[in-house]
Amino acid sequence: MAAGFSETGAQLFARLGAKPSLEALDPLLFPPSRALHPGDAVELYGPSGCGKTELLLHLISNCILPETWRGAELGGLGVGVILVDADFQFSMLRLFQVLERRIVDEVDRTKERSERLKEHLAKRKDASNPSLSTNSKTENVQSGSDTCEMCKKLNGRMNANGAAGQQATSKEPRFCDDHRTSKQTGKKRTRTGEIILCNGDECNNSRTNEQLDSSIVKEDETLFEEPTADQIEAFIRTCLNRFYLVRAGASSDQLIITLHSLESLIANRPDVSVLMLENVAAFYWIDRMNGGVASAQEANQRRVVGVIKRLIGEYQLVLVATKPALIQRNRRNNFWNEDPTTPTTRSNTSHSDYEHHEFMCSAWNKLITHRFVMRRHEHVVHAKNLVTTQSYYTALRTLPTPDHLCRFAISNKGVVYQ
Amino acid sequence: MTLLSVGLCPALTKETVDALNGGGIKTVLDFICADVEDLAQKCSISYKVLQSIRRLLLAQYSSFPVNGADLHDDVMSSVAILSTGCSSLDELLDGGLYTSELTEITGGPATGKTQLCMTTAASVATTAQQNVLYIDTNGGFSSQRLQDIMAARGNTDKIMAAAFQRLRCARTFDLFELLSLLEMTKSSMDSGSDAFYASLKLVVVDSVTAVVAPVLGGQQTEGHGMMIHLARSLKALAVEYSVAVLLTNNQVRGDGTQRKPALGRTWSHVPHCRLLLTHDRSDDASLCTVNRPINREARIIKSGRQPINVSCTFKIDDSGICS
Repeated sequence: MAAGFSETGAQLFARLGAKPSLEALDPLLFPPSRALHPGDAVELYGPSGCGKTELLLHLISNCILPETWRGAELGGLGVGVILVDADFQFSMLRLFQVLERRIVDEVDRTKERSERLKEHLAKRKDASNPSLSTNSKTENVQSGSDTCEMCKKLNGRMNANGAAGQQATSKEPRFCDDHRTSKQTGKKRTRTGEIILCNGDECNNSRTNEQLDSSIVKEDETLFEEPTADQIEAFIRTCLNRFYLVRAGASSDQLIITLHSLESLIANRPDVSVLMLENVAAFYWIDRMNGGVASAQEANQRRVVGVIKRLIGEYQLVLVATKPALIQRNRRNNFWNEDPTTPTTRSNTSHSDYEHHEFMCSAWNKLITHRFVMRRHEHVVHAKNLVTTQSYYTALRTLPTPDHLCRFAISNKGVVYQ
Repeated sequence: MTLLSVGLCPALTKETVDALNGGGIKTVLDFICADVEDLAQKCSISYKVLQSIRRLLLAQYSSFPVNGADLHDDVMSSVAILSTGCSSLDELLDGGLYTSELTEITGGPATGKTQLCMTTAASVATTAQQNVLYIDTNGGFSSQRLQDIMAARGNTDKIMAAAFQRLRCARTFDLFELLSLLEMTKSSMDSGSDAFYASLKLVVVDSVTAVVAPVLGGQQTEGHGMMIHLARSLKALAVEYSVAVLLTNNQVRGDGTQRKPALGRTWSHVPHCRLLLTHDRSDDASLCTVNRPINREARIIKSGRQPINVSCTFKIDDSGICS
């Protein structure tokens, strides 16, 4: 154990403490039955331009974005990522663009929803008969119990929230950060015993009676405040704080030593739960050229596998690595011997198109628990005398069992599933 | 591969190195990969000493992790977008050539690869006033043509004289010379002794195929190894020194009738962005009519930042490539 006796409490915690779960990392690539667990290793395999790096960026943003921000559901995990780039391929500009587009799109959607809701509520108010509207104040107080009531800045309502809030939290986990803090302060100010206006059951009854569910759940969004561009940028920076890039492209020696040196970073950042490696085969040809006998050619690959295995095992990480299709198996049938760099134009895809040819050492092959074989497809679209070629991408899971074909497009917000 | 030797770090004394060598630990890599506890027993060196040696060697030979937010600040302050001198191409490339990226132009003969290189070099040296290193590996560079391009773009003699000061051309016809030239460039940029290299922003290699193709074929391993050496050297130059690198690559005919970029599958992973140039002129020169203008098209076939299969048209005239 290389951490040695100099291990601090924090490091021990990082090593043995519970890591955030990665089960929700990407519900399409990793459905519940194939969820990722600590120690798993994912490989993305495919020819040039098949979307490996894009998928990696997508997974990075899934990791470093939080679940929600200002009411917008970003669907991230808020965990730390280390990307080891052995191929000088990573583009910060592109990652920033993906994050920005994802956030802006989600903020726009939330804003639109809140505006629709505002209209809807206004209509309701007009339509409701006077006797109900006299009731509406208490109703709001009651129903506020499981929404983000603090936004309303009304003391009575706050009190109601404080009283019933605890029961409500489990039903409504979507408090944005700002509201969550104000809710807590609200609670402190409330002397619970005195100002209980209703209990949870009554609230539920009144809501079902009035059929208010759908509108009330989103009521906080009527006060949705659109963030400025500066605020979005500041927010992206806080997300990027969870991300580390290490470039190790000089030699396989440098890659291996760098992987060893990551131990101290991982030990000091318990939130890091994903280790990514861009292009595990970066030094494949150079190692083979320097190698000599076959076993020596693979020595550096085995060292890489050794250190990765130790890191993901001891620190409960998940590895995501890309592997380019450097070598293709010779096919006997010339008909199939098409150029792999030109994407297929056939629309019906059989599993034989997703052939994986292992050229790395067997230790690497043993390490991998999930493998996706990726391809790019093109289809020609005729529209208004204009012939355009559109691309879509597919990733077929071939490990543990061949089952799962994901189809996606790549837009300016990154991977979009189709 | 660095051998363990006395003086690599203070704790590595002659006795320690001998003891480690006796235990089969010869290189820094061997030492880092070995288990410290085993090593302490096998070579009878104190665990504490080995741990401190390991820490120092790790710090010395590894690259450092950069936090994403800091990296973003770095990139925003250092990234430069260099105009190719052709507005439609600039639009296609989202502004032009980005520093820290390898942009490859591929295309058949006479599609305008070298013209694009020279136009870009002219534009960067005159309009952007940045330094350009032009590496010519197939004899296609012509300073006369470069001067014509600058003149046709309305630059005065004074501006042109200054632009030629910012431009260096190196001619090499073999891969090993090219590799040592690139290493020399990096060390010059490190040392900062030469003002030219201190503000170098564009490196053009026209063409990669001319130097790589001769080493490919036959024993695949050697050729591929050398090719990847070149790829890594170019990428390191681009990314670590924040330089835009522009390459040209030929086309070959695949198994079918389809043409594809030369240098094969392994090289296809190398460039960050690939641009395919085509024209509609017949290969048979006798069928060419003088008066008919040639339609030329540039198409993005690989990019890490942009949609692919987008194209634009351009033409070649006195002022080089223009829209």
